[in-house]
Amino acid sequence: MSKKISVSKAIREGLHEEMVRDDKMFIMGEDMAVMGNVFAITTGFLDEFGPNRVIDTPISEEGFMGMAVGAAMRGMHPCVELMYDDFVTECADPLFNQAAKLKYMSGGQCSIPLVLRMPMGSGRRNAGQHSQSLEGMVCHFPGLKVVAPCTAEDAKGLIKAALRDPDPVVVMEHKLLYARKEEIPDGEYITPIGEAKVRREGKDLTIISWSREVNFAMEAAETLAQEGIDVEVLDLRTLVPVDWEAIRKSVSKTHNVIIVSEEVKRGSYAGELSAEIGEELFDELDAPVERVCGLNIVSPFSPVLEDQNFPHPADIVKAVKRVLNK
Amino acid sequence: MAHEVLMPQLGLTMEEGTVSSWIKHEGDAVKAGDVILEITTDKLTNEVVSEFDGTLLKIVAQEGEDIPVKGLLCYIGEPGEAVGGGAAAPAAAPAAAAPAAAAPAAAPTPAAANGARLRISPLARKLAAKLGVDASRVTGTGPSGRIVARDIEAAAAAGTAAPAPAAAPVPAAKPAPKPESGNLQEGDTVVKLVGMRKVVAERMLASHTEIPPVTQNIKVDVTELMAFRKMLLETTGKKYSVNDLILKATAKCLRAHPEMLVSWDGNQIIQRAHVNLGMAVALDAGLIVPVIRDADKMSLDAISDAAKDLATRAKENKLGADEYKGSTFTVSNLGMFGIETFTPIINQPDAAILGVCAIEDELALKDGEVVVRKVMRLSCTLDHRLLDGAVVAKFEMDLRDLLQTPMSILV
Repeated sequence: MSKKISVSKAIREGLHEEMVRDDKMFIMGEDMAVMGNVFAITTGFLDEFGPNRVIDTPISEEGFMGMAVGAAMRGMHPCVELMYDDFVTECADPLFNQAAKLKYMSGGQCSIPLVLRMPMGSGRRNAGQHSQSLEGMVCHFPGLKVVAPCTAEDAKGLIKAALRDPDPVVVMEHKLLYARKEEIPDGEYITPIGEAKVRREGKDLTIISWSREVNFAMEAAETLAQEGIDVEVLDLRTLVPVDWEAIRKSVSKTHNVIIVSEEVKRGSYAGELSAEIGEELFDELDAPVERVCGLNIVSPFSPVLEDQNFPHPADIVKAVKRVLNK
Repeated sequence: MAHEVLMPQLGLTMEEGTVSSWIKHEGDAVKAGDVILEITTDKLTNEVVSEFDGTLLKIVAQEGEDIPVKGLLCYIGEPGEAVGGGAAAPAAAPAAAAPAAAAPAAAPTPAAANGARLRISPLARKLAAKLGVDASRVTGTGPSGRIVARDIEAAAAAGTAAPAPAAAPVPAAKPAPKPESGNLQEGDTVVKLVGMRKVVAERMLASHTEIPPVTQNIKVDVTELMAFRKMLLETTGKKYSVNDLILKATAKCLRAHPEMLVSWDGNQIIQRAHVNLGMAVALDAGLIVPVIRDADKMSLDAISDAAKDLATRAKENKLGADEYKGSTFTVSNLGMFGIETFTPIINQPDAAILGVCAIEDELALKDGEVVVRKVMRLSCTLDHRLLDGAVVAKFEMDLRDLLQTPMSILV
C-alpha cells in the first residue's frame, strides 16, 4: 500500500513518528513552534508535544546550536532546524568544531545524537544569502554524516534514520522539493544512511546527483533516451558516508560520468567526487568526469539570472552529449 | 613529483625495447639497485635497475609493449605522491624511432604519428591492450579527437586484430601488418612477435631483400686439419674445436683479403679496418651473433677462449649490448648438425658470410689409390653489390689451402 503526499508532509510524518516513539527527542529552531515552520513542517506539533519539546528560538543560530550540542551530550535527541542552510556559517563552531568532534575529543565518553535539518537550494528568488547549496562545506568535516534526499519516500526514511543515529547527521532538504507530491509507502520504514539508489538504469553514462537535481537528471535522461542515449541516474541520497560501491559499480558499467549539483562549482562536493573517481577509477573512464554545477558567482536575485545559475535538464542533456561527443 | 624510470639506451643503435616482465609490481618497495623489470632489446634480455629508493607507484609500460629509448616505464616515489598524469605515451620518442610502419591505406588520420602523445581515454588504452589493437593507428571520435572505447572496439571488430583475445596472452602493441593472421585453424595459438625473434625477423628480411646474394661452395680436405687438432690435444692437452681452427684461419685469411672487409653504406662503400668476426650462436629464442674483435691479432688460444666465453654468455643472456655489434665478417657453423651445404644470409653490414658445413668421410684418388679423406664444405654468401664471384672465390681458395695445411694457420 502506498499514498501520495508532499515531501514536506513526508518529513513531517517522519518527525512525528519519531517524536511519538522517542521522548528524549525535541525540536528547536526559528518559527518551529507557534508558526509551525515556514514550510509548515511542524504545524500542530506545539499543541501535541508541548513547549518543552517544540521550541521557538530567537535569531541566534550559534546559541541554539550550542544548546542542542550540550543537550545531546547529556543524552537528549535534539532535532534542530536552520531556516536556510546559508545560516550554517552562523553556527559553524558548535556544529563543525563541537558536534562533529566531541566524540573524539572526549575519548568516546559522549556521542552527539543530533539532527540538523537545513533547507537549501536555488530557484526561490531568495538571492545571495538564502539560496546556497553548501554540501561541499558540510561534507568537509569528518564526524558529520550528511544526507540529501530527493524523493518524499527517502525524505521520510532518511530523517527517521538520522534521528536514530548515534552521531550528528545533517539533513539537507531542497526548498523546492517540499511541495512535490509523490507516492510513499504506508506505515513506518527507515531508509538506511549510506546507501545510494539507481533511479534509472542505463549503459552509456552515469549521472551522479542528489536532492532536487536528481529530478532534473531524470528528465534529461528521458530526453536523451529519445535520441538513443541511455544514461543511468544514481541518486546518492547520502553524501557522507558516500556509497562508493554504488559509484564504482555504475562507473565500471558506463565508463562516462557527470556529477550534477546546485553547488557553486568551485570547491564543491561534486568536485570532491570527481577527484575521487579520477583517482580510484581512472582505468574505467572513457572521458574526463564532468561537473555540472552552479556558476562561480553569488546567487543572483533576478529570476532570469538565477535560472542561469543552476543546472536545468537542458544543461544536463548538453553536458551528457559533450562528454559522449554526440 | 615521483621519479620517472625511462627505457635505457643499451648500445648506440638501440631505438626501442620491449617490456618483457615486471619483477616489481605497483605498491612494492624498491631500493636503488633493485631490479625492477626486464626488457628485451636488440636480441637480448636486460634488467633495468632502480636508481631510486621508494615505492613503485605506477607501471606505465605494460608487458609486451614496445617503448622507445627514453620512453616512460614507471614511476617510483613515496606512496601517495603524484605521478605524471598517468599518460602512458612515451615522453620522448627519438625521431629515428619512427618505424615508418607503412600505414594501411584505409587509415584516414591516425590519432598520433611517430610517437607523439596519443589522445586516448584510460579505458580505451586498457581495452586496446586487452584486444591487441594498436591505438596509434586508430582515429578517435571522442571530444577533440580523443580515442574512446568505442573506437577501439570498432577497430578490433573491423580489423582481424583480435582473432582470439584469449589465445594471445601478451598484449599486442602492434597488429601484424598483414591481415592474414586471421587464418587460424583449430588448436592454433598466436604469440606476439617480440624481442629477439622480432629483431632476427626484421634483420633477415632486410638482408634478404636488400642484398643480391651469391653463395659459392668450396670443398676442403680437412684430413690434415683433424690430425693437427689431435696433435694439439696430445701436445697441449687443450681440446680446440674445429670451429676454433676455422675462426683462426678465417681471421688470418681475411687479413690477407681486405677486399672482403667492406660495408654497403648508401652511395658509398666503407672499407673496414678491423677483422671483427661475428660468430652465429643458436639460442632457444632465436639467433645472436657475438663478435670477436680483431680476431686476426689473436692467438688460437685466445680465439678459442673468446668463442667459448661469448657462446656461453650468449646462451645465458648475459652479453653486453656492444658485444654483438660491429662485426665485419661472420661465420655460421652448422657442421655439427650434418648440414652438407647451405646458403647463409649475410649479417649486415658485413659483405659476406661463411657457412661451415659437416665433415664427412669421402673416397678420393691419391696416386691412383682409393683413399678415405675427411671432407668439409664451406658455403660463402657474398653481397654482389660489393663483391664479385671471382674475388670471393680467391678468398675461399686461400682459406681452403690454409685449412689444408693447418700448420700455417698458426704462423
